[in-house]
Amino acid sequence: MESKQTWSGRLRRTARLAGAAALAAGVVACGGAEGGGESGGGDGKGPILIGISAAKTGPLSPYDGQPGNAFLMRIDEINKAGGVNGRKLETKWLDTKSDKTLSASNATQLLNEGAVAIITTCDFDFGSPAAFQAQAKNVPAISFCASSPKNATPAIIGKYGFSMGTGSDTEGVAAAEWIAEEHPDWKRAYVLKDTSIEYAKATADYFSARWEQLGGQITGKDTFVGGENVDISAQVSRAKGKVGQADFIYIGSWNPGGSTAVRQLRNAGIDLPLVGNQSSDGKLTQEVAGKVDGYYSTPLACIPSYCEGEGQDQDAVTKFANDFKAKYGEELSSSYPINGYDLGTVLKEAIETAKSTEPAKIATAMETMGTVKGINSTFQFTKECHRPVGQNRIILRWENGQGQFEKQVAAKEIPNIGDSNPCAGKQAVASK
Amino acid sequence: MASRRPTSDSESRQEHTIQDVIQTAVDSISYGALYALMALSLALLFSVMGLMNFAYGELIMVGGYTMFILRDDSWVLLLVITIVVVTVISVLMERIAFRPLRDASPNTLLVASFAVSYGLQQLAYMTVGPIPKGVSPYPWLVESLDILGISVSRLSIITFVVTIALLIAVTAGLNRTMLGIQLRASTEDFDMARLVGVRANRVIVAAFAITGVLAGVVALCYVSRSGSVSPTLGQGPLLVAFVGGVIGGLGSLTGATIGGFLLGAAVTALQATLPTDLSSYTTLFAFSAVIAILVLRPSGLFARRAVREA
Amino acid sequence: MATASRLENLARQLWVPAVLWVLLLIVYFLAQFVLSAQYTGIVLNLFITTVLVLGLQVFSGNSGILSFGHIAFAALGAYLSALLTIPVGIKRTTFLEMPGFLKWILDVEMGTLSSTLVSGLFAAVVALIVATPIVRLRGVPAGIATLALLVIVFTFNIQTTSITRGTSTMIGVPATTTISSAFLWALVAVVVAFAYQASRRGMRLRASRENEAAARSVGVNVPFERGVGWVLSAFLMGVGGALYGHYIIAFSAGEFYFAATFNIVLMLVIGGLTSVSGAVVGVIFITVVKEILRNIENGALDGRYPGLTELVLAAILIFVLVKRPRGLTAGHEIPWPRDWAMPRWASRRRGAAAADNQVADVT
Repeated sequence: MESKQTWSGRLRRTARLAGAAALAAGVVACGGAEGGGESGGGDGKGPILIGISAAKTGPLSPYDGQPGNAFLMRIDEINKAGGVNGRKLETKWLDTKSDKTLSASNATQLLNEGAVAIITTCDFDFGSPAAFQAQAKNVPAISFCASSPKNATPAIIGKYGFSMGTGSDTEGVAAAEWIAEEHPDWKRAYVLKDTSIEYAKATADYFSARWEQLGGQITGKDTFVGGENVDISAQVSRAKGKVGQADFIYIGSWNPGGSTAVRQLRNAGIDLPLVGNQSSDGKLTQEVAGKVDGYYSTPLACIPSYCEGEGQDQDAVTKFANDFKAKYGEELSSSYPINGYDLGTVLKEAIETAKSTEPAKIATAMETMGTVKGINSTFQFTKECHRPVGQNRIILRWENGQGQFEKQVAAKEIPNIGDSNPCAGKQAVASK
Repeated sequence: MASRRPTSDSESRQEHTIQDVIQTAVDSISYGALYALMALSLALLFSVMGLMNFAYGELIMVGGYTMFILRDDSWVLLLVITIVVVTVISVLMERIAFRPLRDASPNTLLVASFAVSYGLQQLAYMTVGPIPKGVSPYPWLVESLDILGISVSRLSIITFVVTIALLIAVTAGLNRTMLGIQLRASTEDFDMARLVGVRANRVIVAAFAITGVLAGVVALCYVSRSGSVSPTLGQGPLLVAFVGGVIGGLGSLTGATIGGFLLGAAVTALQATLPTDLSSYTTLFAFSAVIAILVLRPSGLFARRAVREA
Repeated sequence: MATASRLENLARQLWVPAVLWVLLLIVYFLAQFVLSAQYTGIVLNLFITTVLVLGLQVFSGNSGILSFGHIAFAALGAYLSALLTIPVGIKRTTFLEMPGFLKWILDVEMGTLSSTLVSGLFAAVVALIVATPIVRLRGVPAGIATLALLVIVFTFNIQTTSITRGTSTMIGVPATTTISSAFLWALVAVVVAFAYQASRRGMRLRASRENEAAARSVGVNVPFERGVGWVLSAFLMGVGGALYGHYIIAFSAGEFYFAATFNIVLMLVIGGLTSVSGAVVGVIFITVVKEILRNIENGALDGRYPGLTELVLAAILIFVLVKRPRGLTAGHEIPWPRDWAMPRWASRRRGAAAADNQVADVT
């Protein structure tokens, strides 16, 4: 009796403690067994699998969401037009949940399933675990839009790491070159640098370096910590004391904090021209900064949901925005989705150039295929610089809370600021 | 630093410095007042049921999204509905998550509040989406007034006035009404209050409702200032309010309120007064001071009795 | 008879760590031989998390003070181990502004095992330095003081770019953490946590957890005992952090902050704060639940409802806390087979029967 009771108790306990583990093992094993067999790449006539390991949830999802959907939309278009080399493209998007371990594990799963390329999250840190997995299997890993110059360095991820991000360096540089060229009367810059993320710091640092290289003066510098709860009243007070010594303020930040900074500077009555980067731009800027005047941001294109005017290939941009809205029921909230859409084009051309679905050949083709025509700009990947070199961006002028197309620009020369940026130097302007 | 500036500027700089001091003071006070409201709410829940509510930040987030949805309606409607929605969510939070855990240890309650906070954030990601939303400013509200050369936004003044009014109202409510007295009795000694006939459910729901109203007001002031809402909006302010509350003494409502005020104001003031290359280390200095205060006065700067132990 | 009972005593002492070892071994075995490759990283991460949660348990479980600051020690471990192991050539070009007192580190290139140990020791030394204020506190103020420590270390890490690269990624960290090394470290952590718990020092600290005044009255130097637990747990955190750094390779300061803190606190409390078994069970339980949910989300639901996993996970966590407020293990160790409690209904019936007997006796 005694022993029997103990035995039943033991079973119960064992079941309770180990039950979850056993169940999991079962489910997990089933889940795992599905993969591995079929090959999406290889030869044959089946669809070509492109794996996406990017965030649908968590803090990184705002950056992957619309670019990801724009990419999927482009793949649909390619398939409707007959696919690539007579084969359809197939996509599989596994959510990284903004987690690095999942970023890598998704990539492994997708590689097992035969993906010929892995698309990674829009951030170097969070995308690199997936990229390292792909690199180890000689499969190209391309980020939707990570703009850290590190992403473009074959020295870090390896030969197979790429990004569609135009580059935080090009944003600061383009702004500095535009001011030097178009506004010779703006001589003295006040630089407000957001130290919360690498991107924001890089745009401010590259702006400053290029600005001084071009003979501009920097008469004031300040920093703040950006993010969601930005209050820069202290920085605003300090800036106010120096208004007389500056002709404009450069803000290296990111949204929503970047737009909040613009709003708080204006609310405090500072009416100097403000210049920002690509991330402090978009519909959110309109919503946060209200009827702001005299602010200039540097996005990739004039997106109709918040910008008016005729940029280069404006018809294509407008068509893209309309198609996106028709497909997903929401307006483009920034210019980042341009990268996602162009990525589809890049893959198509690379596979066509490689005349093969062998991942290593696709990667080589990306370096050698020459100029690619994106929605509103041409660009090319080079051996040294694994990102769209020569891509245009625009200067967008905010007037009464509405974006206005001001000018088409592209970074001409990226200064060397000692961060081993492989893309530094004179920029090859991709021929139109 | 100063020697590098052009000398012709030194006179106007002097003027700026005085203005800066006053301006920083005004900023710090109006910010501190907001944190005081939050710390008061946290202390109320902690005293009544030993709950350190990390999901309180998500109430502010809910308020922010309500404001975003109603951004084009009249401001009266926006004001009323935001407060109502946040209060309802606060009460629901109690009913669904915390009531079944009424007698659990503070550690368990704390982790449950993590889970609630996490769940609400995910709900926001799934419904409203991850892209931050903007709440355009009412130009009248954020305009700066020039008072004797010091520019103060109406929002700062309103924040300050509303906060003080609310603190007075809450104090009066706690002292004058039957429910308030029961609540206060419960914060002093919950078990004793129950023994003498205070109805636990009523008191606790009341506490959640009050903190809901306060969270609604905080959301209104806070989001009007920063202008954007995202699923994790509430986390930053919550941290400061929490730590401030503990410095003041979570066991005492007054103490926590003052603590929240002081820390909120101190962080703002430090950011303004530290030299630029040190100001990125603001939080480092502020939190070192926090540890020092805790060691010197473990139950809070202003607490009369020992803090309930976790 | 005497030898038998002595043997049983020994077996009883080794029982819990042995069961936990077997549990981890099963997980290791599944990952190595049964599950497909995509789970390797997840299981590897599970082992590292086990080290971290056990590190937290050593202090929080025995002292009863929930610490929010332990991830700070993991950060220190990760950074130091990275700085010690990155190839000299890369270090010389990436750390151009290394302050003078640390210049020597640019010429050091250690093996990972020694750097992991050094990192653990470093975390322990830092813990020793900051122990004085922390161990004098208890309850909520102690928790907040540890939280303040986390904020301080994070702010330092993110702003001191010359040493940590701040928001920028560490480059050139050798990827030396394998699933086997993480597994071995998890086994070591189990032993360390259990040995401490069973030791005289651990017992004294637990006495102070149950009743501080009583513990003091029998001569326990409570702050000192807390300090011992604090420093030992920091060592494990430092080791865990180093392992993490050599696994994820590209990391920056933001990784060692609130999200990571909540993660380990959640796992520990769900498993059961006061037992070593609780820490291990919590890690395995949450990892497994997440994986099951994720499989459903990606499989049956085909990724159509992103975020469902997290929402359901939050609900499950609240449910577990309501049903088992002291965690899955209720804060107890896995009991010796013959001590296993009977199911509740059985013991209740037995109790009732005993009561009946008593009544019968009286009449």
